[in-house]
Amino acid sequence: MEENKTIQPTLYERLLKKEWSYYAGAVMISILAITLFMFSGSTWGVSGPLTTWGAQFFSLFGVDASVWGANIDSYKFFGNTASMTDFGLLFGALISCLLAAEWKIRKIKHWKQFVAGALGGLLMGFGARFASGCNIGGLFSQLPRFSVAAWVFLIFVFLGATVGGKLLRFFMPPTSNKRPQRKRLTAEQRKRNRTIQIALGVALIVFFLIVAAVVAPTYPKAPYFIVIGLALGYVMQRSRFCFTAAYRDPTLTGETKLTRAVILAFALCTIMFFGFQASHVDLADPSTYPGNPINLSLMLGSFIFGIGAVLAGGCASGTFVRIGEGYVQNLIALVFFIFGSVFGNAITSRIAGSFMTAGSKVYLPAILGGNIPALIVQLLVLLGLWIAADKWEQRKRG
Amino acid sequence: MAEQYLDCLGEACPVPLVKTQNAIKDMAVGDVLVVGIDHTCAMKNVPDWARGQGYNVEIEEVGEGEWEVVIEKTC
Repeated sequence: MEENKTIQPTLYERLLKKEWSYYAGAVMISILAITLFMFSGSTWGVSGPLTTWGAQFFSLFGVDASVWGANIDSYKFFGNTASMTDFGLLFGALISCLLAAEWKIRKIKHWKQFVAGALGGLLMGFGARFASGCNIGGLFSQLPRFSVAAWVFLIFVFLGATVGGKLLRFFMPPTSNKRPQRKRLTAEQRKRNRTIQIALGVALIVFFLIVAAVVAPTYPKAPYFIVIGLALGYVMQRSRFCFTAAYRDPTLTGETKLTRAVILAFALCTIMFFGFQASHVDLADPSTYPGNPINLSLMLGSFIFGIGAVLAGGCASGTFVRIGEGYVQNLIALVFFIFGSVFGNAITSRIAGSFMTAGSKVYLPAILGGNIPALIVQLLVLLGLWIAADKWEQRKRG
Repeated sequence: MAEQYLDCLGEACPVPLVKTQNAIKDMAVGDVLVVGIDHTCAMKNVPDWARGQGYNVEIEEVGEGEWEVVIEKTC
């Protein structure tokens, strides 16, 4: 196998096919997350609308959505930022995949994959409702804003993912060493297929620009969210970004490249959010603190979410991206994620006020005595984690 | 110089990498493992891991969004 033929990538391959580095993904996602915050005034979230969609689904059968603690009457798709960015993740990834001519339906081949997707989705739905957010809304969007609850989320989602990694072998399809029979396409057929995929990708871009223009008069901000959502999906697909892998892989495979990329994204967002935090949060007034309260519900929820994300093969954002790429297992996961959200929401709306939700918001600058100390401490901790992750991978490689 | 095929089509991360790690462990130096993958993330982490181990890695796109990763256990 000692071949040294260097095939120069074509311009097309360089622009639309070659994957980006995880770090490039981290930088782009951070910038897009901040841009979204600037336009919408709220941070990026993914799992929120799923409860509403689930409640809408059940209301089709005459079930009163308020039973589940969800309000669907005031819900408008183009008035709901997360709904648009969720679809953006899906279709952005689809566009990315089509432009690279890499789209196909990725079928499941074993019933265990169905079980993994369904169970993982259910657990994620439950977990996200108990923790008041998935690892985007409850972690990625909150940790840079000095919410200590996000650090708690991080610890418990890591523990959950580690447990999920141990359980994964029960859900792995059996090893097969048989090469599937595949009709080899001729160069001409492949070129034609590629052209069709790229054309579909371009058509989708045009379609969404038209949608954005059509809804703009009624929902003036919707076009921004459509574009940002599509961009997030495109970036996540192109850079193969995966939040789940960041806390699953260190203990499972020993790889920490994504872990370090996510840490970089945390650090970048911390810096970009800093000006807003320092000027908008009143240290003397806990009601202005961002993020969730720290309580048992959060710990339980993020732990369960971690298990679910590993079994399903992606967290909430990852699930949308992979559906766009044509993965059937993630589509199953989304359906059960929605069910899990509705049932989880029904439970959390009943345990509100119990010992499960007893706790308060903790804001890093408030306990460290200022914004600057909080910034320094948070960045140093992230740097420490980055170094530890780097060392961990080297050690695991032996 | 045995060659083994490992079918990871339709499998989500991290299953392809775990299966690859397990398969390589049982192989002799000089053996070749061909992993069939259609998961774009696995297409990054499987070659990444194998190169990090110091193995020779070659990738062939055998169809739209479907690849064969050829890993030679060199050490």
